[in-house]
Amino acid sequence: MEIGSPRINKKRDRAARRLSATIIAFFITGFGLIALKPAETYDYRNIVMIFAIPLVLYFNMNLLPKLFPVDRLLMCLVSFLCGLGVLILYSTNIERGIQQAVYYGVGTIFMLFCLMFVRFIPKWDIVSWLIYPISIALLLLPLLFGREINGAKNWIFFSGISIQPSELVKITLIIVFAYTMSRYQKLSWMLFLGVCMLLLMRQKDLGALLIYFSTALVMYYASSGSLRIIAMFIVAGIGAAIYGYKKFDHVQKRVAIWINPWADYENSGYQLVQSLVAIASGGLLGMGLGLGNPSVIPIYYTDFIFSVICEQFGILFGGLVLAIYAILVLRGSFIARSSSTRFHSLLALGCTAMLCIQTFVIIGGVIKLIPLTGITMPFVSYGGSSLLSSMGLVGVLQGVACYNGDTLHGDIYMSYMDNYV
Amino acid sequence: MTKEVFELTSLAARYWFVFLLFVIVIRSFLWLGRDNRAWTRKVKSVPSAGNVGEAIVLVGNSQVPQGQIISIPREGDMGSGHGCDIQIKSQLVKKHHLCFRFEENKGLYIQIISNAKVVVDHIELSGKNKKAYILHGSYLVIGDVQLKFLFFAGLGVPYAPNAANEAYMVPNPVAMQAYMQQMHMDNLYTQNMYNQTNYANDTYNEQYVDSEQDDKYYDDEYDEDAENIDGIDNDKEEYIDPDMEDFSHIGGER
Repeated sequence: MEIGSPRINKKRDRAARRLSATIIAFFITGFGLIALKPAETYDYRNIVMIFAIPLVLYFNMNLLPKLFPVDRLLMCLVSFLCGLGVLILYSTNIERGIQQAVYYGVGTIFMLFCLMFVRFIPKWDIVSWLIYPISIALLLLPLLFGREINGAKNWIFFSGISIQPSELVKITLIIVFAYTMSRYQKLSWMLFLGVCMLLLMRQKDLGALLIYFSTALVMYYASSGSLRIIAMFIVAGIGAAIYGYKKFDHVQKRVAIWINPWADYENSGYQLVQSLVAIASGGLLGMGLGLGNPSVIPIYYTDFIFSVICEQFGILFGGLVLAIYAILVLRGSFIARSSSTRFHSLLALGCTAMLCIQTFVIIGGVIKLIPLTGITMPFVSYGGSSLLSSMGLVGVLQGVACYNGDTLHGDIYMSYMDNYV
Repeated sequence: MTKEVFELTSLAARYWFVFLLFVIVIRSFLWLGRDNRAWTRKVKSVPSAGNVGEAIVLVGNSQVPQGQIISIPREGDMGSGHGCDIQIKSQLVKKHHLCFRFEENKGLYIQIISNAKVVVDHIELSGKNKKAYILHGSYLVIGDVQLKFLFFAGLGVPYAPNAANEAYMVPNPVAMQAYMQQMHMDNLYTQNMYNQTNYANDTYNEQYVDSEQDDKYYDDEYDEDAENIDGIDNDKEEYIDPDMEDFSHIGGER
């Protein structure tokens, strides 16, 4: 049963088309400008990208909603952020930009899979119990077969492809937390969190550990409202942070860099100093797309992509990108609030909280608000695992949004039709 | 293009990029706000949506008066705590006393969370994780409060023992009025569109006989602001009931 005037649907369609047209105009201009950049030998791929990326974005924002029941606003915002990542990476390194575009395509398919998975699973008991051992196994893989990179052993390499399992476990973690917390199974989720945190500590992936822990706290507080247990966890978290600081050398180094990066700016503080200089160089409006010198920042394409955005587009632009993330978080909160079941509400809240915390931690680290943790900026940073997990989280959010729509329609239908029973 | 010209172009383009992103942010924000308001109005206009029935207080206390009617949501928890979905203020009721969820054709599944007790249809349940189903007409004693549960028709909830004559409930009558109004508005809109097409055919006006012109009324890309064929401003609020906006775009098209 369709509720509402067709005229209202047309108005909403018009708003969606205007937003997507603005986004597409942005990327046509951006890639067009990159294509004009003088080079020794001209690359024909510049011309292809002017049309390819906007076409893909048009498909995702306008045609995909006709085939799948996606939330259009979420789709537009995520498409913009992913496109921005491709644009920035392409402007600095063509191969990396194209690779990110491929990851975006794969991420979109994964997002649709997660959407359908969440929407159509009728009973989550068996699924949740299966996810437990799968998550533990994924976190064990780097310890058994992984390689240490930059002080953390959280990558596995398979046929030339590198995967970070802790990124994929983010999604399974939220599902397990949402299920156990909605069923008041305190011991289950605490045990699961404890095991995950131990394994992450062994991998020295403290960034992911911080995100898992914070997300669990947010979800537990939403499900129970128990300030006493939250306070206990925060105290335990502070204790673990102090223990981590004393035990791991690289944590001590990062805290020292955070306090004063200029003390050793040629060695350990070099990355952060260059990041701050890049942000300052950009000023309010930036140096211009394709200008500046982002490659001065070591590994700028993953952790410090926000610095590159601020350098090329300006601090004002960087602030507006944060506004996009804020709208994404608000939309996720709205979806969580509109859910009719505890499980779906916690699921949506978990995804939203995770994206919010991850964004805060990485941007906070880049601008020296908090110590660096070595995690990526959702949707924008280079990396297949990162983009896949971020798109997966959005897919889960979309799935909950679809479920909300289905149940509201069903409830309204029943409340109208009951009058005829 | 020379390096200097590219630099100048890039510097000029900064303003354009910031302007476009600003427009994107504003449009997204307005879209979000509009959806939030519309959803709230929608849910308020159909207060029974999401509920499965009501509980009547047969025996109450000073804070839960006798005769009070409590709506039963599909899922939640019951207790004396402030954050509970059904709050029963009593010193004999734990903060989170029990949790419940509705199961189609079975009834309201309840499970005791804390080390407490309840009485369901004269059967005592005492201790953590004890479970039971509340049926249509069932009695629940929680603390010093006694409740009687009645469910909406059409949910398939079986009758409780000794409750065979209990009639199923119907939802809030306000919802029915809103539904009838919406049906009327939809019929008016459809009739208006039909009349426009029929008028065009009857008068043999060249402008309307052209099939391409007819299609534009049903074309998604057609801009309603460009022409007002019938002289009526279709964007006027009086033609639409804001309480009956559709939410199919949130979480998908239908």
